[in-house]
Amino acid sequence: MNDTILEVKGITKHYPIVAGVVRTKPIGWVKAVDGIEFSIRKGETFGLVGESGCGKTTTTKLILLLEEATEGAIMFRGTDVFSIGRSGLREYRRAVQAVFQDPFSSLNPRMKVRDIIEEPLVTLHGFSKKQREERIAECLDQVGLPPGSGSNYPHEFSGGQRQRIAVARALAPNPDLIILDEPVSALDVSVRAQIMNLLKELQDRFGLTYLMIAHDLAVVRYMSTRIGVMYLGKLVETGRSEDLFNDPLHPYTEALLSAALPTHPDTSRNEIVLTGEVPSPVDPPSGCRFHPRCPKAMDICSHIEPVLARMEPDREVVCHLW
Amino acid sequence: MSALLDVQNLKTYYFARRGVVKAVDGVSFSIDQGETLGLVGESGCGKTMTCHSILKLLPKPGGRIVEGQVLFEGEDLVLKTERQMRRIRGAKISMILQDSMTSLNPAYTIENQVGEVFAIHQKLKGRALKEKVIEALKLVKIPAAETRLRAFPHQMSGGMRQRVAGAIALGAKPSLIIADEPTTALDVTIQAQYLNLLKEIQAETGVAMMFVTHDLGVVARMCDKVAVMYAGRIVEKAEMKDLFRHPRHPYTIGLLACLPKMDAELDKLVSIPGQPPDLGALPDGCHFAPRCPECMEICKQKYPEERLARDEHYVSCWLVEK
Amino acid sequence: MFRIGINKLALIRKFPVNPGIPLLIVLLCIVMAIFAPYIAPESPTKQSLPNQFQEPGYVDKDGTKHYLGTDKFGRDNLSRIIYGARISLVVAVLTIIIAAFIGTLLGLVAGYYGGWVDSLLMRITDVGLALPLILVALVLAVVYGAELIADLIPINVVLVIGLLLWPRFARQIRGETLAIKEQDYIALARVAGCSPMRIMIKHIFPNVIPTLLVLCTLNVGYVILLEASLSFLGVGVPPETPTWGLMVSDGKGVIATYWWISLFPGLAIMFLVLSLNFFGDWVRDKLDPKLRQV
Ligand SMILES: Nc1ncnc2c1ncn2[C@@H]1O[C@H](COP(=O)(O)OP(=O)(O)OP(=O)(O)O)[C@@H](O)[C@H]1O
Ligand SMILES: Nc1ncnc2c1ncn2[C@@H]1O[C@H](COP(=O)(O)OP(=O)(O)OP(=O)(O)O)[C@@H](O)[C@H]1O
Ligand code: SF4
Ligand code: SF4
Ligand SMILES: [Mg+2]
Ligand SMILES: [Mg+2]
Repeated sequence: MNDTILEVKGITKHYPIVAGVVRTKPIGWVKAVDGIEFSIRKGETFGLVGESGCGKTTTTKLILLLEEATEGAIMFRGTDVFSIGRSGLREYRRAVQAVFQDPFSSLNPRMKVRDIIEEPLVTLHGFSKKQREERIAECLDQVGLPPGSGSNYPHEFSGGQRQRIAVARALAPNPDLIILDEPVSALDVSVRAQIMNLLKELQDRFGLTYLMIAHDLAVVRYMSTRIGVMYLGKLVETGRSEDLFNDPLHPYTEALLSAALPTHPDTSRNEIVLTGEVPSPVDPPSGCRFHPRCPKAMDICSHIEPVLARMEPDREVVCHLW
Repeated sequence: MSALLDVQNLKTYYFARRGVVKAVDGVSFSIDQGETLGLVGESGCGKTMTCHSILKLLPKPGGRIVEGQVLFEGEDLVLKTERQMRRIRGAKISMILQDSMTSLNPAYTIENQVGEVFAIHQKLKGRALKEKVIEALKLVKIPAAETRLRAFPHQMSGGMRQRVAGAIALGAKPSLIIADEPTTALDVTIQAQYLNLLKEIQAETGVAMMFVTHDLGVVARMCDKVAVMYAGRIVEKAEMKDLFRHPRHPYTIGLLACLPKMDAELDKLVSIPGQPPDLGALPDGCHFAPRCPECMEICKQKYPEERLARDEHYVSCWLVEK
Repeated sequence: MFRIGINKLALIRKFPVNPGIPLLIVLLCIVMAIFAPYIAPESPTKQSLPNQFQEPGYVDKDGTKHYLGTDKFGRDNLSRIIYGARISLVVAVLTIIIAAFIGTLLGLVAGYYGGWVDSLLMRITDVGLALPLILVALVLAVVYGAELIADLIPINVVLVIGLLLWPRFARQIRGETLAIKEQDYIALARVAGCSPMRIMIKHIFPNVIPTLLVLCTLNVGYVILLEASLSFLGVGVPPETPTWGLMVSDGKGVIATYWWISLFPGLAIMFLVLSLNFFGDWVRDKLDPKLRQV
C-alpha cells in the first residue's frame, strides 16, 4: 500500500547505565525500545499503549530525532530519516510536529504565545513577517483561542488552554504528522473531552495523521483507528481499534483491558489481575518478556522468544499461542 | 449508631499574600464504620485540603480551619490540641498519600519506617517490634516480607512502596484510613492489584476508608458512597450506584458524559465548556454557573444550599426542588 | 579578616527581609559615588598639617566642619569616604559584568552540550573555584602593579577579580541550564528545527536571567569586600587614592587613639555589603518561582 506515511523498522534504543565516579564505561544497558516495527498510514490515528516505562516516549523521541537510535530505520514517505540531507531534514521538521503531555513544561514561560507559535515558522524561513502574523492568528482561531491571546504569556492560561496553545504551535507549519504524547493525561477530567474533540476535529479538517500515546485505554479507544500494545520495549500486538478491544489476542492486551476500570458500576468486566510487577528493562526476562506474569504461559515461553504472527490483514501478535 | 467521622460545614481557607483561597468552603459528609466514601473532584478543588483539615495537617503559615466541626467518634477534632492530635494520627486515623516516593523517607529502611508506628503508639521494642513489622508487611502481601526489612524505599518498585505505605497506615489498626489518590501514580495493572488488596484488607479488618480520587473508574470499583467536589464545595453526594445511575447535578452529569468509554465507539464526546474556576476568585452564586448548560438567573446570584433529591442523595443545585 | 563577615551574614539571611532600607543605603552609595565632587565638603586629597588627627566634629580655621574628623595628613575623612564609594562601586560593577558574561557563556555551553565539552569546562571551573581568591588576586595585583585608569578604575583589580569570579557564575548557570534543557519546550524547539545557538539564546538564556540577577546582587557585596581587602593590603590602587579599604588600613596603627579614621570607612563597607546581601536575598525570594507561587 502506498499511503504509508511513516514506517518504523526495527528501531532499538539502549541507554547506557553508567556507574558513579568513573563515568566512561557503561555497566549495563536500559533496553528502552527493543526492535519495534509498525507503520502509520495517511489520515489515521495510530495509538500506542502500554504501562509506564515500556518505551512509548522513547519511541516518539526517536521518531522526532531527539534521540539517536541504536539500531533500525525510520522511513518517512519512503526515505530514511536517519540519513536525509539538510533540506530533507528541514522538510521533515516541518512535516512532523509534536504535542507533549505536560502543558506546563512544554511552553517556554518567558516567551509570548505569539512567539511560541511562530517558532516553527521562523526556522523554516520563506515566510514574511506578515505571513507569519496571519498564520499565527489563523492557528489561534483554529484551536479556539481568542485572537488577542497572542500577546499573553503561557502562565496566564489554564492547563487546557495551554494545551490548545501547544496544538496551535504544532499546527503552524502545516504538518502532515503530529505526535501526541499523552496529550490529555495532565489535564483536568472535565477539560479532556474538549481537547480530544479539538484534536479529532482538526484531523478531519486538515487530513492530519496522528501517532497518539496514552495509558488510558478509553482515551486511546476513542481517538485511534489502529492500536499497538507495547510491553517492555517490544510491540506485542497491533490491530484495528475495535478488533483489539473486542477480541484481544495477546494475554497482556487482555489483562491490560481488564485492568482498566469501567467508569460505570453497572458495566461488567472479566477480571484478570496480573501478579508481579513489570520487570526492569535493564534485564528483561528471557524468551517471551511477559512470561513471568502471563496467566497462559507455557514451557516454551520462558526460553524461546515468540515471533510475529500476522493473523489477518491489520492484525499482528507476538505470542506462542498464535 | 452515630457515624465514625462526621464532618460538618468545614471551612478551611488558605490565607495567601494575593488573597484568600477558599480551598474548602462549607463541606459536610459522614463516614460510617467499615464504609468507603469516595471524594471525587478535579485537580485543585480542595480534596487534599479536606483530608489535611481532618488530621489538622494544614500548610503552616496560611492554612486555617475557619469554621465547622470534624466529629470523630463523637469528639470534635477541630478543638483538639496538637498533642492530642498526635495520639490520633497514625493510631486511629491514618493516611496513604499519592506519591510513595516522597511519603517514605529515603534515608530509613522499611523496617524502621513501618516500625515507627508501633514504637510510638504501642511502645514496642526489639523482637516484638520486628514481628509486628513483618505481620504488617504480610497484611499488605509483600512477598518475602522477612527479606525486605532491610530494603530502602528506592530499592522497591512504585507498587511495592505503595504497599509499604499501606502497611504503615494500617499498622496501628486505625478505624479510618484517608487515602489521597493512592493509585494515581501506579500503572493500571498494578493499580488493579492494589485496589484488590485494599478491598481484602477492608473485609478483613473492617476499617473505614475515605478514598480521594479524580478517577470515576476507581470510585465505581471501591466506594459505597460518593461525594463530588467542585471548587471547594460538595455539589452532590449519594450512594455510589445511585450517583452513577441517576446523577442530578449538571457537573456530575457532565463529568460522567465526557468520559470516553472502553466498550463503545463514539463519534464525539460530550464536553463541559470552560475550565475550573480559580479558588481565589470564585463567582457569586453557584460556582459551576459559568460552565453550566442549565444556568438560570438565580444561579448567578445565590449559592444553592444542599437539598435532598431522594433517599440519601443530596444535591446543591437550583434545579432540584427543595 | 573580612571573610568572617560573610559567614555571619548567612545567619542573618534566614530572617524575612524588607528591601526598603538596604535599597536606600545602596542608592545612597550610588548617589555619593556619582555626585562626589558636589557632595564632598573638601577634596579627598587636600592635605593640611594643622588639621592632622582631628576628632569628628572639629571645625578648622577656615570654618570648615570635619564631621567625621581628619586623618594623619589632615584630609577630611567624610570626603574621602564619599569619594571612596566611587572605587568600590566601579570595581563592583565592572567585575560583575566581566564575570557574568564569561560565566553565563561558558555555563550555557557546558550545560547545553554536555559530554566532553561539559567535562572540560567544568574541570576548568573547578580549578577556578579552588583558587584562594584573595591570595591569587594579591599576587597578580602585586605583579601587575597599581594603576588607575581615568583616576577611577583600578584596572588590574577589576581584571583580576573578574577573571577569578566567573567560575561562580559558570557553575550555577550550568546547573540551571541542565534543568531547563530537560524541559519539554526545549525538545519542542528542536522539533521545530531550531539550531543549538538559537536554543541557547532564545530559549534557555531568558530562563536563567532570574538566577543571573540573584548571582549578580549576591556577588556584588563579595566583590566590594574583596576590593576593600586588597586595598587594605595596599595593592591594586595607588596609595593616595581614597578607597575604604585603604582608609581602614591607614588608621589601623592608631586605632586606639584616633579610632575614627578606621571606624567610619569600616562601617561604610559593612553597611553597603550588608545591604547588598539583604537586597540580593530579597531579589532571590522575589524571583524564585517556587517561593513566588504563594
Ligand atoms: N535518558 C535516559 N537514560 C536512561 N534511561 C532512560 C532514559 N530515558 C528513558 N529511560 C528508560 O527507558 C525506559 C522507557 O522509558 P519511556 O520514557 O520511553 O517510557 P514510557 O513508556 O513513555 O513511560 P511513561 O508512561 O511513564 O511515560 C524506562 O525504563 C526509562 O527509565
Ligand atoms: N500551600 C498552599 N498555598 C497556596 N494555596 C494552596 C496551598 N495548598 C493548596 N492551595 C490551594 O488550595 C486549593 C485546593 O488544593 P488541594 O491540594 O486541596 O486540591 P486537590 O483537590 O487535592 O487537587 P489535586 O487533585 O491536584 O491533588 C488549590 O486551589 C490550591 O491552589
Ligand atoms: S508467549 Fe507465552 S508467556 Fe508470552 S504472552 Fe504468549 S503465552 Fe504468555
Ligand atoms: S445551581 Fe444553576 S448553575 Fe449551578 S449547577 Fe445548578 S443549574 Fe447549574
Ligand atoms: Mg512517556
Ligand atoms: Mg490532592
